[in-house]
Amino acid sequence: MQVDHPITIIFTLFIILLLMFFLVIPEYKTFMSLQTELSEQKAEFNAKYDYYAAIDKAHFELQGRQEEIVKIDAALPQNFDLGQIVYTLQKNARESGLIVKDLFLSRSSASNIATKDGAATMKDIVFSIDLLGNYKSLQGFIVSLEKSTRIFEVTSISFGSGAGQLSQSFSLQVKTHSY
Amino acid sequence: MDFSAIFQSRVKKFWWTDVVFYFVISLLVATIICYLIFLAKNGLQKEEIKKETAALQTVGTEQQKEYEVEVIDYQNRIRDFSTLLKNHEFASNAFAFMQAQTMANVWFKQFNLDAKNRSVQLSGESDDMDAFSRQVNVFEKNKYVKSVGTLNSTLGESARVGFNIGLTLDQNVFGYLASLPATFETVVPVDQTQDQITPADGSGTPSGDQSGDQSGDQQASTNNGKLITSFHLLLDPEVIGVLNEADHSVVLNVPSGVDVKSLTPLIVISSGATVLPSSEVPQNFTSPVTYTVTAEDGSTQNYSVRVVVAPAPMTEKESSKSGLITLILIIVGIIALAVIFLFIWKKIRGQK
Repeated sequence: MQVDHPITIIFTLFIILLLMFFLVIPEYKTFMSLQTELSEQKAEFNAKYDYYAAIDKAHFELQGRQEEIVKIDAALPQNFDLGQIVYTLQKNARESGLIVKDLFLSRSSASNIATKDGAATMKDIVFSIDLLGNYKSLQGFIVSLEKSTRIFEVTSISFGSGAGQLSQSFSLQVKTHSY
Repeated sequence: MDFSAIFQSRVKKFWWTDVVFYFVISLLVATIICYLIFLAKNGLQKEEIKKETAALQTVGTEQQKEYEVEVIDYQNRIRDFSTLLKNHEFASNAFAFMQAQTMANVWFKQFNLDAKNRSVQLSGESDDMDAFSRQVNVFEKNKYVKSVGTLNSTLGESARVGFNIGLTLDQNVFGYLASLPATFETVVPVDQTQDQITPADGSGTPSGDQSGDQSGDQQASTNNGKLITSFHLLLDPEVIGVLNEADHSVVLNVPSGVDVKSLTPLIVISSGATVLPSSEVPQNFTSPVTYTVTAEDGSTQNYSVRVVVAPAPMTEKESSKSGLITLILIIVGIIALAVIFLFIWKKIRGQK
């Protein structure tokens, strides 16, 4: 059979072009995108692997620091436990030789100590306390609050000495924190 | 227009038309081979992606996610706690300061402390105007008194001087001080560092029943007799196992290239218990290894320890290498096909 070469050449070139445009190039593009996807997945795997390895390490280190964690839990409790705070304040006052005349929650608000993302997660709890007793007892009470496992901060103290009075009256504002 | 050249090319036989013809045929075959190669490569890559996706699922198990939540929670709490400690103020320091700075012939009747603004409002009496002016002078010269404001004094009926005075104290007065009275009396610079909440007396141990009880409970709950409390592989960097007490298993993710046939674990178990195979004895982790922990009372607990090797990441060099191999394969295919066609063509011409 005699093949007409020039026509076959033109026809074949046309077929090659069609094959290139409709099969090879799309497949090549798929190949490139798959290669990118694969390298991305590998990078993601490596990053995730490293991340969870760091998490495991941090968790293990946390387990080894139970003593410190217990202290942090006590200093900055997870729960907004008003009963516990009132109990601690009354107990410390009694042990210092003071009588709690008035105790009320004057403010409970989101802390102005903002977190990294700008949102405050901690709450500031402020109590106003009126106490009866002497100066030494007041000092003892403030020191006992400052020594307490929970973080207490005395933000305001106000008192005066009345003539002929056996016990003085003290007004305090005490701030503590919780989540 | 002269179409004779085209006509001639159809009628006449030129030697180069055969060459072009076979070249074009080779090109066609090469194109088809290219397509097939890409098809095969894509298939392989899809397989690899599937494997990678499956490998991705093995990292970040439920337990690891729980750990993640716990770690992030504590990270936030530690950060908040550190901020609170940094900004913590000791109001009791103000008392010590005032006691140290008050002269013998001066009495205070009213005391108002605003720790936030670090201001102290005082009302009192002094023996005479001289004592009062000396007292003001003591405050003014003290490095911990930033300013003396709202000053007024009146001579009372008993010849004593009544006064009101407002002080703004330095921030350092409310900071942590190791030895409070001495600090204020000798007026030495204050170290602001606050490592722990410790009041003036320097006793760092927190008082109260809470922490004692909590640590006691913690100890009781972890001391269960036959537990693996930690499982490490002594590699560089060290690999820490993820313990799952629900199914008593330990999973360790090791980087690619680590020889799992001989890995030395460091095992921490409950006090009084023993473990077999022993800690720090090399083991072959190609398949899960069972460790048996025996409690003091003789009861045992088996732990299945599995080591997962991370797949080797494809480097840029490897990636370019695979591209080069593809190109070489294509070129070799084209040449081989061209040679085959040339050979067939010569054979046919020879027969004629």
